[in-house]
Amino acid sequence: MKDALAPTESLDPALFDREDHSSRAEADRIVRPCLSYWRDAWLRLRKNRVASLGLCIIVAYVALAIVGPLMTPYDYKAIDEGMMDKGPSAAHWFGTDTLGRDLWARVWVGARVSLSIGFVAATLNALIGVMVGGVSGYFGGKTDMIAMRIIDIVSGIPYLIVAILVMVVLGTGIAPLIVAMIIVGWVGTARLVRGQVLQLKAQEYVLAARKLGASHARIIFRHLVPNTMGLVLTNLTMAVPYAIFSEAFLSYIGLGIQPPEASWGLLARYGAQNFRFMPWQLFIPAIFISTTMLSLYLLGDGLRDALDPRLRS
Amino acid sequence: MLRYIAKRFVISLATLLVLVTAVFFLVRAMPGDPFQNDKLTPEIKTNMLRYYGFDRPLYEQYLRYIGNLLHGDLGISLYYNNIPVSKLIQESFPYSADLGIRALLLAIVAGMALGVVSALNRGRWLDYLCIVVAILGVSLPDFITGYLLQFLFGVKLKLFPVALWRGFKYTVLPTLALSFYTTALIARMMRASMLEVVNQDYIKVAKAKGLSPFAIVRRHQIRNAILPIVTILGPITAAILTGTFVIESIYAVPGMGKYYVLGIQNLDYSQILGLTVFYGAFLVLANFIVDIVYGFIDPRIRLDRKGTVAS
Amino acid sequence: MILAFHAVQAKHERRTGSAMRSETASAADTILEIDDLRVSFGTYGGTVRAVRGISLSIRSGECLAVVGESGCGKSVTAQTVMRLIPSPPALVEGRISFLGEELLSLPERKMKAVRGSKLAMVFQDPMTSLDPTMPIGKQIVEGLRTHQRIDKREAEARATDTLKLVGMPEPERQLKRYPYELSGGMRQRAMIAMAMVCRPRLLIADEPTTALDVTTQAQILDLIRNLKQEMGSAVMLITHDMGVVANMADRIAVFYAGQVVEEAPVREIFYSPAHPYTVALLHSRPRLDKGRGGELVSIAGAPPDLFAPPSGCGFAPRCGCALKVCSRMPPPSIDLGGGHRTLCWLHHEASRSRYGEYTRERLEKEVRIGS
Repeated sequence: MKDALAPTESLDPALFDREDHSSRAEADRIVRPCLSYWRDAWLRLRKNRVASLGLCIIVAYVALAIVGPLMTPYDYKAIDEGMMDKGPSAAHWFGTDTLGRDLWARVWVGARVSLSIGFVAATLNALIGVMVGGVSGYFGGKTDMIAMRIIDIVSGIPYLIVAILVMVVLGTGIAPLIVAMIIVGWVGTARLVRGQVLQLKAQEYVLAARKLGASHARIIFRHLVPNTMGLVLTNLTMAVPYAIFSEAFLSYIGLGIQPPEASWGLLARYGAQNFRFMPWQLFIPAIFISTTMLSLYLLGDGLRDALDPRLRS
Repeated sequence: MLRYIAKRFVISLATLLVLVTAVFFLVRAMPGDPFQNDKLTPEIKTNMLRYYGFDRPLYEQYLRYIGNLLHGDLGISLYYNNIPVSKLIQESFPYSADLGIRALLLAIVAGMALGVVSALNRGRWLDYLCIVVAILGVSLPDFITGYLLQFLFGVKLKLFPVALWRGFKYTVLPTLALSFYTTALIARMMRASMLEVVNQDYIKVAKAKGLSPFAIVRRHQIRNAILPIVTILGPITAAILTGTFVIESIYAVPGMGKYYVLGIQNLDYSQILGLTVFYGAFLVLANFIVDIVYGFIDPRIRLDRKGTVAS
Repeated sequence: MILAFHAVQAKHERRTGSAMRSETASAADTILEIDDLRVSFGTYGGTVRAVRGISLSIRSGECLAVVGESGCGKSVTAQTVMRLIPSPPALVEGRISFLGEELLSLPERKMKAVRGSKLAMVFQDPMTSLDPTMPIGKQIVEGLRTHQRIDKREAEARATDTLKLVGMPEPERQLKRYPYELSGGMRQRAMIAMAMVCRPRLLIADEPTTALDVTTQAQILDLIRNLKQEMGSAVMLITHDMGVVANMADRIAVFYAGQVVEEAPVREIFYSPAHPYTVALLHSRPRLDKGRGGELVSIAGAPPDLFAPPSGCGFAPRCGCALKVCSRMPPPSIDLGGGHRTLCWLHHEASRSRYGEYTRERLEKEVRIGS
């Protein structure tokens, strides 16, 4: 028998001593460091420049919403008849509206309203959705069937139509607005969570937990909910811009926030009336609405990619 | 297939019923008495009493209400001198439908094209361009797009007329404005769907058979990518419909949306409710049609099979 | 194990009517030759060296089984032969020669003509490998008409014939069926029909039975063997299951961590395996004859991380016979005669002169299998 490769140098005979495998544990060591799911997701999100930009913008807006109105001496409600419809200037950074109110202050007070309505409505929708979807998916059977029928029917009713209807009845203001948005808005999350729970329920560790005697509540909260969190979070990030849009829309057609309060939708509405001659009154709130929604979408996209387990290396 | 259609039909009917009942009860929940308004002439008041039957027991009112609906009687507008809502609809709906259909078709065609181009050029500048356009589209609410287009192309550049609906030129800006959001939505979905399909095994197999990339895209990729899009056609129709409220106001199109918004601003309850029922019913119908279309496309439903059959 | 192998081998020889192909078969018979193939991928975690210098050849009409655990590079090799892996981002080096043509430098348009007609592949999961929105008849016809100018009716007739050949009952009706309407075994038959319809010279079967239950497995393997005989196609059968191999293969190549650690005629592999990994693999199969209560045997440890492949032998950390040189220098390819070669320092002159010859029995004792 010959060697297929002739050695180019003679090999040191000491090399042919036995290898010393003293630590058996060596071979079983998993060779690459493990990252927890959330840490891994966070790192991947940070690497996504566009999503990070979106996050920064949102944070900036929230910060400005808090301190913005304090940055000018003018009160957002204060009417100044001498300064009506003025363009942006050193005194009024965003100009004034038809009643001479400072637009910078109004934009940031409006931000408080719009952003908080957006987040609150979306979060409430998510909570209700998780509860309904989770319970329905977990218990299955009759509960599930009834819940699914309800979801089917409710989702057939057009969202904005219902919102309009509700607002007409309840009147205007923040609370009715939120109620209107959550009456139908929870359906999307519910469907999603239900689907996820149904999938997870079939997995072995749930069966194991039940055999070990865990109560229903424990299973739902310790096992199923954390696993749906990623999906719910992504959905939430996409739901907030839709909620902000809904508020803007409803205020725009006159049903939402009313003057002298401010919200971005309201500012757009009154800005639109003067649009031909003072376009900034419309465009400034419009830019903020759009960039907020844009940032949230980018963030949502980034989150979805970061949380997708299939993309982990 | 038939079983599927029947099921969707029943659900649609139930949805409609729920909607209509909700409207019924909301009338009674209105703050204050709608009849206290001094704009109402005694004539109108009598008509409304007849229509709503406030002096009768509740269940009778309900039956009468349903009966009215089935006869196409949707109530009376308070502010338009007693004109029945159904007449308002008759006059204005064709315009809204025209605008809506144009926008819908544009959105579907442009959205799919954008999505396909974007997915096929993944990572290159064409893809990024499409993505940017798409993301902008979903972030800009329609009332903003409406004004923007009007301002840019109508006022500043004077390329298109800014209002009314008198010929093809007039339709351009409103249609574009209305379809912008939906085009972007479809484009994003189509792109995601195409990219997901391209990772599937059967695409690899198609390549292993020796098919050219063009044939693979045409015969396998697009067909599979379209399926999810069909499922969102229902909500998309709803989005376009609610968009008409705003776009018609901005562009002074004599459609139904305009009346709806005016009704809201005038707090013309009767008109609002009548139009709401109409819109609701219309959307339920649209969803039902989409469900049927989807049933035809997805072979699993078409052939009434549910999953694998051992053979 | 050996007894079982004997019986199977005898059956195999009766079927093919010939003894093991002698090693003096002419090289002109070779239809596929892979020479020092290396494939790396850049991922965001780093560069993975999936295939690290493999050389193989397949002769006309023979069946080469490629065996190894998950992640050892067998699928990547198969897909690289078909050029299904997009080549940036992957980096492919080496030579692949098929029927005299250099596949790696072939322009894409010519490669398309080869794929599906002379060189075909069957994939692992028939459910996801078939387009769910297209009837299977259409999918078969599509492959056929891409390579041959025949009209639809003729193509459908040929497709029906091929379906009959793969053992589908009522082939005319099956043409119109959708994938989800068929059982797993039926789908895999359809896949095989799709691959064989143009009578390829080489069929690459990537774990064709892994997604199927045991009885169906046997049927599909029988089918592949029959088709091989009828059409004279060569087969590259990729699997992680040694048992599947015994009945089918003429030669076996054992993969580990991106390299071929041993290659030999099937008899040699079972009777006189030379590489410690091969021995371990043979012994880790669950055995029906051991009776109840025995422990399941596994190979302790895990395959090396291909982001940073070791400089020596990949199996060294898990090998009970390892020498110091094994973890420091890559083992040379050692020719043991009779078409048998292995990548192991234990068979090097220097080791043999010091420790003697490593026979199968000795390896079994020393390799240290067991949990």
